[in-house]
Amino acid sequence: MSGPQKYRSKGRIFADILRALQEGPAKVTHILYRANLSHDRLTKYLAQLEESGLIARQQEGDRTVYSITDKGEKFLVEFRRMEEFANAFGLDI
Amino acid sequence: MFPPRWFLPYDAIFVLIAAFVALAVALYALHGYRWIRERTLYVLFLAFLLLSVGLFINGITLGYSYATGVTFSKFGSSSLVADVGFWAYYLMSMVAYSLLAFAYAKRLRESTIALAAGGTMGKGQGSGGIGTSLVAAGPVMELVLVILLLVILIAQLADLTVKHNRYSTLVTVSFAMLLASHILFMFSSIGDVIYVVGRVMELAGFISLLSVLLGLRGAK
Repeated sequence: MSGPQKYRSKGRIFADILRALQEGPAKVTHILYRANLSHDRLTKYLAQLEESGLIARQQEGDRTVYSITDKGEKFLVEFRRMEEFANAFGLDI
Repeated sequence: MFPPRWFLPYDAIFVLIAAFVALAVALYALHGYRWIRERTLYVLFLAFLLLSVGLFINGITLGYSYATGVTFSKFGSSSLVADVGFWAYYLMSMVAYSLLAFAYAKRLRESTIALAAGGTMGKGQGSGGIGTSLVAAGPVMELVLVILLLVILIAQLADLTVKHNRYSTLVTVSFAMLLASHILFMFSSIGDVIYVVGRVMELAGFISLLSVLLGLRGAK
C-alpha cells in the first residue's frame, strides 16, 4: 500500500482506468465513476490509452463502450510490480 | 580506502558482483519506466546505473592494482591510473546516492511524514582537491557517501514505520549494510580486517537488494 498522495500520477490514473475496465467493457460514465475523474480529463486519458493500444473502443448502437486489451492487462501487471518495487525503496509512483 | 594487497583479487570480485546487482536493479527500473513512464523509476534507473558503472570502474581498478603491483599507504597509491579509477568510482557513487537522496527528500516533502532529511544533500561534494591522492582523501570521500547514505537510511526507516512489508525491510537492511560498510572503509587504515568486513557488508547489502529484485520478478 502506498502512503498518502497529494495527486495521482499519470501512470496511476491509467491503472485506475484500466482496473475499472477489468470487470468488463464499460461506458464512459461507468469509468468516470470508478476512476474518479472529471469528464474532460477522462476523455483526454481515454484517447491516450486508446492510442497506446491499452484499451479498445467499440460502438454499440449509439453508445461507445471501452474494453481493456491484452497490452492493457500487461500494463496493469507491470504497474503492480513497479508499484511494489518503488514502495520497497520508500518511493511512490 | 586502504585495501590490503592480499585481499585485492577477492575485493575486485566482490565489487564486480555488486556492480552486476546494481546493473540488474537499474535495468529492472528501466523496464518499468518503459511501461509506466514514471519519473521515480527513471531516477532509480539513473542512480543504480551510475552506481553500477562506478562499481565496475572500482572493480577494474582493484584488479589493475593487483596485476600491476600498485601499493597503498596513508600517503597515497603508487599509480595515477589507480587514483583516477578510484576518483571516478567515488564521484559516480556520490552522484548516484545524491539522486536517491533527492528522490527521498522529494517524497518526504510531498508526503505527510514530517522529517527534515534533505538538509545534508550535496554537502562536501568535490572535497579532496585537485592533485590530492585518492587514498589520502579516501576517508573524506567516504564521509560524503556516509552522509548521503545516512539521509537515505533515515528516509527509508521513516517509510518503514508506515509500511511494514518484506521488501521495504530488505531494502532498509541493504542501505544499513552499505552505510556500515562505508563507515568501516573510513577507518580501514586501522587494520586490514576492518576493510575486509566492510567489503563483505557491502556485498551483503547488494545481495539483499538482489533478493528484493528476485522476489518482485517472481511475484504475480
